[in-house]
Amino acid sequence: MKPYPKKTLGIYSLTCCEGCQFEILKDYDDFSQLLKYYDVRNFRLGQEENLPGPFDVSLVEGTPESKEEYTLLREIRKTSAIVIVIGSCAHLGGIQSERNSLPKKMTLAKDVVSIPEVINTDFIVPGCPISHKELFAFLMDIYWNKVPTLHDLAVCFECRQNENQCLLKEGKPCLGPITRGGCDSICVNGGEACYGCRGATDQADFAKMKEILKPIISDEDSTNMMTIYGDYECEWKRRTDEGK
Amino acid sequence: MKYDINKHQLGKLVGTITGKYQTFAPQEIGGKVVLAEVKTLSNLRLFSRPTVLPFKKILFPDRVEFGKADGTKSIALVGLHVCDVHALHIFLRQFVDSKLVLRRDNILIVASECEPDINCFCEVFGANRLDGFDIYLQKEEGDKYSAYTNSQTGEDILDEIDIISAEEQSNPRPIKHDDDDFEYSLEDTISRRADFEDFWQRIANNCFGCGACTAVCPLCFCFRQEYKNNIDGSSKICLKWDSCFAKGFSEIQNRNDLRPENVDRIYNWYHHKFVRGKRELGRFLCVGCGRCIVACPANLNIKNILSALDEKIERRINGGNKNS
Repeated sequence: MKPYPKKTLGIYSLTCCEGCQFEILKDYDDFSQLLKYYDVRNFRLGQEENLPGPFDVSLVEGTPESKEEYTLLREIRKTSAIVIVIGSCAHLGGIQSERNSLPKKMTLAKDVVSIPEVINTDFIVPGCPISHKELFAFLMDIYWNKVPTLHDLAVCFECRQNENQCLLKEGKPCLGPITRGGCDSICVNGGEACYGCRGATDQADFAKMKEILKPIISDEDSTNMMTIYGDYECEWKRRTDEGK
Repeated sequence: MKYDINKHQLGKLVGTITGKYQTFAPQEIGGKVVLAEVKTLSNLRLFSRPTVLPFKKILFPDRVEFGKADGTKSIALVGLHVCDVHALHIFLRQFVDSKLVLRRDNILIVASECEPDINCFCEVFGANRLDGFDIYLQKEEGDKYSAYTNSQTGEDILDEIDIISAEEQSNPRPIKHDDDDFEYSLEDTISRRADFEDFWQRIANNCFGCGACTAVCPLCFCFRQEYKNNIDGSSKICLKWDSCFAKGFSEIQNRNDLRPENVDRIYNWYHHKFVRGKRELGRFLCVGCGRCIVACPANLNIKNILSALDEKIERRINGGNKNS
């Protein structure tokens, strides 16, 4: 059943580890299914011939660093109907945004900025790396002209659904209560804490999180933990501003 | 009826049930005790601490396609604690007019004795009453167990195994001794939100709104329909567990939220459990299993909150602590 023509898709990568692009190719069966609905015109990692826009949908990962990348990013916005940012780098700034907190003398480069601070974006697929299942569900919803939605509860809800004991109660640091779910609590299932790669929930309370972490780790460590994937608080504030 | 059985016969009993029904029991799988379908008898944990997720995981599974659940199959739930049995009855009463959940006739309930821990307070809501099961298993000294039957179905099953002795008149050990006075002012106190605005605000300030409590509560049954477009071109409508702490739960069109603040959401949770639930089903939607206390990352404690709202509950909870 295919009442609509194929949509055109461009997949772009700015400065990052390109792990999210690998995630797209991770399950080739799913990817080949996706090709029935999308015409992938630009995908540097996956194909040799890459065409310029305009595209119906563009996926962008990474953060813009050089002048060329800023130009490319603005070009993508101009030529794409829908821009989806994928991965923590594009969404929050990523690991490299640790640079922002260093003294300016130590680094010559400019501050790392996430993509929503540079251009207007339409949708976010968070995660480090993203889950290809979630991304393809997003793309399928867009193909059928339905607005895709993100999970609106914290990681804790899914963590309990997977019958894990609370790490915070065991005296281990975890950012599950303020982190957006949808990952099926994959890290906690494997015995690792949640480091908040998917960004903050809508009602995230950072002061409260620090208070809960106080008996477990120092204040400095909890701040570091909460800013591993970029400035949480900034993203949260931006989202609440948008809401108003 | 009371039957004395030994360890071997207990295994045989579970084996008989497994042969007749699709059986679910607490088992140790991958280091955690979870309620799962019985495949082997070796990792059964019949007298365990409460599992993280209650029976609703079996009766009301997450992300199951609508219309695909088999409403006629017979299942057996083995090793439920008595509070869970009470919760199960309230749960079935809630879904009595729908085809989403199995009927009571299709469920064999085998309860087992529990060890009350610091978090549970079943005596407050009368959920320690030994009632509502088909078979009740009780641990005795050594390798001995007793099985009590409460229905014809239960007796038929026990008749199939070789029993050493059986007694007509015998009652299981009570779980927690307490009086039968369950007249509380909770309903009235929680209804008057304006008088307790500071109280609710203080709780909301300590709550992340993560929804962990709603995931583990045996009597939280809100769900949403999830429309999924699959990559292979098919689409389906799923039943997905929802939580009243989710934004999508109370949001209507044009970004209008009926319960925008966390204080509204946590108040709504208590209001549903102790006011609306009582009006609709005649019972509080809480059996005092204590799962939400274990699950809460913010260390909120429903026992303290209920104690603050009702003096009688405070006396019972604190009085019970002093004795144990």
